[in-house]
Amino acid sequence: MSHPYRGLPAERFWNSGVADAAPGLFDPVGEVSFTIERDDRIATLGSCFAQHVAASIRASGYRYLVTETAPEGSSAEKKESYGLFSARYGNVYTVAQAAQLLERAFDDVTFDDAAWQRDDRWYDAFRPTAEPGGFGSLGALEADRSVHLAAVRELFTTADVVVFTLGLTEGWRSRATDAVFPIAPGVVASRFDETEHEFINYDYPQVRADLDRFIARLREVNPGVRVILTVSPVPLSATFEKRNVWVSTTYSKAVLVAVAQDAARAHELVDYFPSFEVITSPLNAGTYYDDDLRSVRPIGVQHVMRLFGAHYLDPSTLTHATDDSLVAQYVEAGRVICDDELLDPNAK
Amino acid sequence: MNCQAPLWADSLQALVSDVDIACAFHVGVTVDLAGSVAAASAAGCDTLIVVNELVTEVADECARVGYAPETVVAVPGLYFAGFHPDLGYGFDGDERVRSPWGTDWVPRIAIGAYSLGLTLEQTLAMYSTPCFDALGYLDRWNPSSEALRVRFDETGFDFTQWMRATKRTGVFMHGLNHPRPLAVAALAEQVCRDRLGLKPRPAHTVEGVLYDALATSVIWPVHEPVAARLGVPAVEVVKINGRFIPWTEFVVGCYTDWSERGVSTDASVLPSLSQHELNTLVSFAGAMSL
Repeated sequence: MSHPYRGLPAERFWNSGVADAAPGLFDPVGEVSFTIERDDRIATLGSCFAQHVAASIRASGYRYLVTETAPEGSSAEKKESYGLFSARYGNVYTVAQAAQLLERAFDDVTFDDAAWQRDDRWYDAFRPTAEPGGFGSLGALEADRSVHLAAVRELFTTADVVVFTLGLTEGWRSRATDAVFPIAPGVVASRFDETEHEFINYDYPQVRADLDRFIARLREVNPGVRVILTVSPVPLSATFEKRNVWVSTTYSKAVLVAVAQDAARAHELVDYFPSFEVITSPLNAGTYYDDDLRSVRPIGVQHVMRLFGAHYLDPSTLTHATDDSLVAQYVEAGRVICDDELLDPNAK
Repeated sequence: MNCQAPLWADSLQALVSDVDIACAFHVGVTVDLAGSVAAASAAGCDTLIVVNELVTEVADECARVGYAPETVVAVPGLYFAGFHPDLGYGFDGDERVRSPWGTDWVPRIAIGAYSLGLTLEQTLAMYSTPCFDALGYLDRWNPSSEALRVRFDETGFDFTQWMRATKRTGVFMHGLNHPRPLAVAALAEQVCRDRLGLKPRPAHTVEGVLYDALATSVIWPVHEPVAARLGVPAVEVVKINGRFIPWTEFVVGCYTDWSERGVSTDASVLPSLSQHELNTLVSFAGAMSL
């Protein structure tokens, strides 16, 4: 009997695609629509996991694009705040933040409530932890923001590849201006006032619209740019929804995965890369998470980036065909070791 | 009785404690096959569990002494190199090449480098991701797994079921032929259920009460490059009879000991080093000397 599943590749079936896959060799990536050359400029943005991606690309010897560098004479602490991402925008957790970033950089969109204060220090509401200890004055904040947005413009107009790690659906925004913040007001600076700020948990249509808006604007300023969308496997550290944080995490990641995959289908030169699936696969039985069950261990990051490298950077490393001569050798070695030890009076 | 026997005994007792297991012998890698058969006969065992390679010899010995167990179950030897591609047995002619700590297990790279006349410094530098990758050490899971599948097929046991149960526990071998308790228990579960008509508990439910008899012997490291490839924790120490010896110290000790004892450069290792592996070692040594 013929049926639609007959003859499909092994990866399409649970047993051969997951249950019987070798740990570490699990590869759910599938076909990619482009590859990355050594002279391509690669930019990253997104949530915390994107920092791992950035570090791995940098370590691979490929051209990791950084357009915002520490000024001469910066303190060591300040220097560390640069280079985590391609520009000093800090963690971009929600897709709404990313779309807002492009509009601020390219369309001169501004917000009245974008500077937060704590004691006598000033913090950029869109990247409140970017400047260690905050700025000494509002003027210093605005001057740095101007430099930052220029670097963002340079970044997105010159990047050949943008890797965007989608992190969260939960966020905070201004009721008055609709400005979207990466952290709830009051955590780093400013104060929380429910008449001014509101919690939002973006649903699929909202995230999809924001992502389409981000990609469209990016293409307008950089028509040839290739985009890799991936979803951070790092769970929420807290939820403002009245439910367990794991339920919120599942919702958030489900929306992001669905949006990213659908956007990749809808846009040319936009790929979905399954970081989330590699780390959270039942095949790993949770071993890719640290003891807090949230932080991703280096072995998990290495697995993700090994697949990233194999599919996008050097496809020649993809083949993992079983070496039949080795199989024969190991079969024989098992017997020989056994027979050999028969000769050894000290063998256990 | 070989070193896996205590694991078999413990597993069988744990899996089917309502059945009287007077004696559980795994007549496998042993010098005293006749003694084991005699002991089983004396204990009145009605079932023998025998590693497949020795079924004929055991049957012959049983016939010779007039011992007729009701059931003989041939089981696959549990050998798996995926976690420990550098583990081997060294030979210098008819002599064993052991570590100065007395282990039969020695590093394949070190034996190969020693036989090629490479320096200790060159040898140590080969314990790196690029060298492991070039040697094919990072891709040993599949061929090793397939080799084990062959042994399971030969004895009619379900390899897929065993591997699924076993691999989720992480590193399920202490070394090439030293399984951890669950690896034995998962096979023992099949033996009990499919060959002996018993109703064993699921192996994973008894994992916590099994005695890891082989943990007191030698536990081989899972080197960082292999661990990273397989997504398991790396361990860079050799545990020998309760001592934890850093890997570098172990290799230095082996190399120094072999030199002092005059082990010849004809020394070999099993599983043997392929020509590709030897060429790789020479190539890496050459690159280091440039």
